[in-house]
Amino acid sequence: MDKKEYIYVDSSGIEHKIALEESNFELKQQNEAIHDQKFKTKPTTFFKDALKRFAKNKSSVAGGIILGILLVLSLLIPVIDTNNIDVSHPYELFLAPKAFNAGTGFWDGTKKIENAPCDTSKKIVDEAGNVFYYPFEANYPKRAVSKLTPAKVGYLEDATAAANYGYANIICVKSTATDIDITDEEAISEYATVFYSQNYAFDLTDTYKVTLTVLDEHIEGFARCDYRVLIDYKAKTVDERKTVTLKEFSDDSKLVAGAVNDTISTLKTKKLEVSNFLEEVAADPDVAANGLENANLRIEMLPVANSQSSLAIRSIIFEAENDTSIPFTNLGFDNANQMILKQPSARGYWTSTGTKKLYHGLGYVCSFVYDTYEAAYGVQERTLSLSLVNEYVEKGWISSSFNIDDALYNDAALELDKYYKTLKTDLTDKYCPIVSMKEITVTTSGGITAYQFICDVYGYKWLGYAEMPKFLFGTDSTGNDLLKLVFVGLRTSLGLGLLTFAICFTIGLVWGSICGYFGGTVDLVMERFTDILSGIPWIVIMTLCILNLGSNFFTFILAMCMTGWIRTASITRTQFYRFRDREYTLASRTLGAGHPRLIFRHILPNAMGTIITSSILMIPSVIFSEATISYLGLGFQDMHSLGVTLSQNQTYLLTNPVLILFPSAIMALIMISFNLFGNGLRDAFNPSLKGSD
Amino acid sequence: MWKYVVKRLVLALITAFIILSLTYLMMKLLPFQRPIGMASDQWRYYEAQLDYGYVIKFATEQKEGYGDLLFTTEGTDLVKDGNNWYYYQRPILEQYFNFWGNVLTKWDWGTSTAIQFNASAMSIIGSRLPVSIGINIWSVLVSVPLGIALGIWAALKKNKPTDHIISTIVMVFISVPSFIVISLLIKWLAFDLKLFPSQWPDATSTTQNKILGYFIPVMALSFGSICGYCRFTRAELCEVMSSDYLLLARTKGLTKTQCITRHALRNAMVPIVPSILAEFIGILSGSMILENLYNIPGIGGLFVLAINSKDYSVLMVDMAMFTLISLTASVFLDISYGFIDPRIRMGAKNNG
Repeated sequence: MDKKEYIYVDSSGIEHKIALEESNFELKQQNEAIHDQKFKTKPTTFFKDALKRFAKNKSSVAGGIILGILLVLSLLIPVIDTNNIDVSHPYELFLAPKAFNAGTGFWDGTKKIENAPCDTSKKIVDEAGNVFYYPFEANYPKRAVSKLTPAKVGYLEDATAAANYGYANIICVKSTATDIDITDEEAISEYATVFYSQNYAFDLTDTYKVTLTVLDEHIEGFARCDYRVLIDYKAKTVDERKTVTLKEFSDDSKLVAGAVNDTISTLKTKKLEVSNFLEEVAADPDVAANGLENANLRIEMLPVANSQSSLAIRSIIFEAENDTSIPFTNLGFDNANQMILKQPSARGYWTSTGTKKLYHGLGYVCSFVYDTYEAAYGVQERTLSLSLVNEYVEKGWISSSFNIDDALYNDAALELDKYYKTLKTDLTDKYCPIVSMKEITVTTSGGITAYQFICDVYGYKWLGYAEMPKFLFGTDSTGNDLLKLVFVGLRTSLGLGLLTFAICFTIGLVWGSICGYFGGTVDLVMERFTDILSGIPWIVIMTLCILNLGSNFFTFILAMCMTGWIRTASITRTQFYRFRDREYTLASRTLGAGHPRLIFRHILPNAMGTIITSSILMIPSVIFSEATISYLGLGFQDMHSLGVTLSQNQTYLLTNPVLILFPSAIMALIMISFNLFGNGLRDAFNPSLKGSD
Repeated sequence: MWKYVVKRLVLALITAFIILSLTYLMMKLLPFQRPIGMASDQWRYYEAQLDYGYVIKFATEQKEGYGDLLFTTEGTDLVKDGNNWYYYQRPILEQYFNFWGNVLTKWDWGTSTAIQFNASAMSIIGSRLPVSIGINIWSVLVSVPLGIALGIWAALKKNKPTDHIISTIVMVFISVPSFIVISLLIKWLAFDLKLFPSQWPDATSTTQNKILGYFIPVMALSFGSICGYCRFTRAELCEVMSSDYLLLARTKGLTKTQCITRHALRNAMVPIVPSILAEFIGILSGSMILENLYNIPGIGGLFVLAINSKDYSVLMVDMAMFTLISLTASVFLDISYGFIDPRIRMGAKNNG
């Protein structure tokens, strides 16, 4: 069998026969061994491939970069920014954000104040005949006010109005309702200005009296209103509160000449008395049967039809013959802030941020640009104590031409007086806060002499800054730097997120691996456990943990980890199921690989990418949960976090919206970039999930 | 199928029992909050607690074994027969069994100590539930059509500018926490533009105000849901659109519109419909911050109120409510999948 015949058919269908023998073949390479050739292209790993896919997704890369920047900032800013945020700074409240010098008009530490109540005592008239009034000095110092608009009549909605318009213990507010029907009870209750006393358990056997002191004279367009006194009471066992009108007083005040500010304290007053006002209440059959639970007095200033009515009331005094414990013996208004006035639209009482506001009030208002930094840090008058002045003398900032050592054998107090009277300021020193010494007052009482130095000082130097500070995000209600607060808070939030992620990831990985790898009964039992655990809403776990253990960093981590690992566990379990029964795992098992080798060499490396990327989205959700909990009033008590900052500033949403805007912006940015980044990572590692977000 | 439903329900009941038990015991571990009020009301409270079996009373003061004295009639004019009583807490486990007894036999979940002193906690929840449900119904009515429509639009214009714009907006609204959205809505719509009331109108306000009062809460709740539905619909529809049977339908000569309405949408709706039902139940517990910020007298606001006033009985019932709501939602979701999609046979033997 030397030759073999082979038959083949070519493309045109013709059969060929060929005969081949061994000598027809020869070995080309006899000296060289053949090896695997290297790939022409670069070899790639799973991770490199995933990274390449990730880099193609531009929004995710952008998210990653923003995330990185925020992370770096949250580590850097708390170190670089040396402002102390753990104490309050009473002179630096609510400074506006400032990045540029004042006058730039944008981000320059100024606020536009609109419709602030005017101090009408000083009138300024310009060439065109416009009338200007500056706002009250105590609220808005004149030196910080610029671009003042001419005064106009407007609503007194500013929070400071109540304090400013109480003159000489009298509140006077104009109602703007001009076209209401005073016979219509609904309209009255809508527009009347009402004062309520607190609920009090009146003794039916006692005799009570209420005295209103109101103005008996009025100025043009002012102090015209009728009053009525009512009592709201609740009988025991009856749910409903009933109302009885006790007495109505019509306005008969006399018109006198004068302006509001000048004459208001000299206007004559009259007393309106309502005595024994429990008679009608006691006559009520419900009260007679079950007794009186409590009652409160209501005093209404009724609107006057077709005229601007106003309210001018000096005091309300309650008296009882026997009952000395009566809590409102004298509810006179010490200042206008004690007055609670009715809100025009809803039937409620406006007591936002603890400041009472005047509603239905008209007065002179002006708008202007207010430089908050000038107000806080500009040259201003301060009274310095003796010890502070002595400290400045020691530092060499101020000196005296009078040599005290030469004169000490004389009358010490007199010599000291001379000494201080000749104090001079060294203006060249950049830390010296004093601009000029204006007055020194010496008071002696009980043998102790007290010195008070009234000086003009540079506000910022006086507060310990070498130069005018700039707060990029402004300051909050305690005068703390918002920039530092936000980034320290971000650091806490991120730390919380990362730590929770690390713990949950570890627990979830171990749990899921055991479930997925062993399967069967083990899996079934462990799955039921996670089923039950995942049925508890996180807010319930959180609340229970915080109530039992107090609100701190570790309670939060504990509460978040309680259910946080379940997601990781279920992903791990699925991944293990997926790779456990693959052929290559089976091959390895057949070759005798043990559990550890199978798990750590064959299954985990393949599953890891998906598990990590799917779990990483836990971090933004932890940050979100922390903020939510803080909003509900259970936030950290001893730490700054984004949620705590946000919830503390919530009350200033209307007056200082930037306090909410900046933390919100950072919060939104971190959430958006985390989600973009996380989704991009997941798409890259697990292309089959793409688009399902 | 029915076997699966029953199995799922039983499991949910067991879960609910375990969770409620844990919650109750955890709440009982907190220091006892003495109700504050007039002595006669307090006495009424402790007498009721005595009937329910949470408190025990003795004719003499107990020094050991019963913890702190809760209340005594000594020095008050409440006792008519001359005997003074001293009230103590029963052991926690005893209280726990009595609690389940009361829940199952009398449907009594505890008594409020601060919010409405001496009122039953369940009645407080009951009076506040309609408000929460009302807002949620409106929010679902607004968000479902809008969300699905936006999702369909985005899916049809996939990878075109429209899709990118919608996806970006959805991404932003899903990422921005709801309290920020609510704060900004209140500031902008209520205070700056003065379109709507700045807080929930109370019972005495005008009908117009009451209607206007719905706008901000419904908007605040809807934004998140709209984005959720939109994203979900888009993902589902995109998946269906790239499937082979849709290509076949096109090849057979159906127009694009016919393809989408007859084949794509119907199939895409399969997972969306159950999620709407579940979302409606689930959203109830998600409006805590909204109700707190907008002063809405619902069960979410009650949660915060109960924490702040330390009314633990009401808090316990409120938490139980949230747990039950979320469990119901998940059971509902699982079961409705099986009913709506004939391909899914849950509980069937897995042959894979």
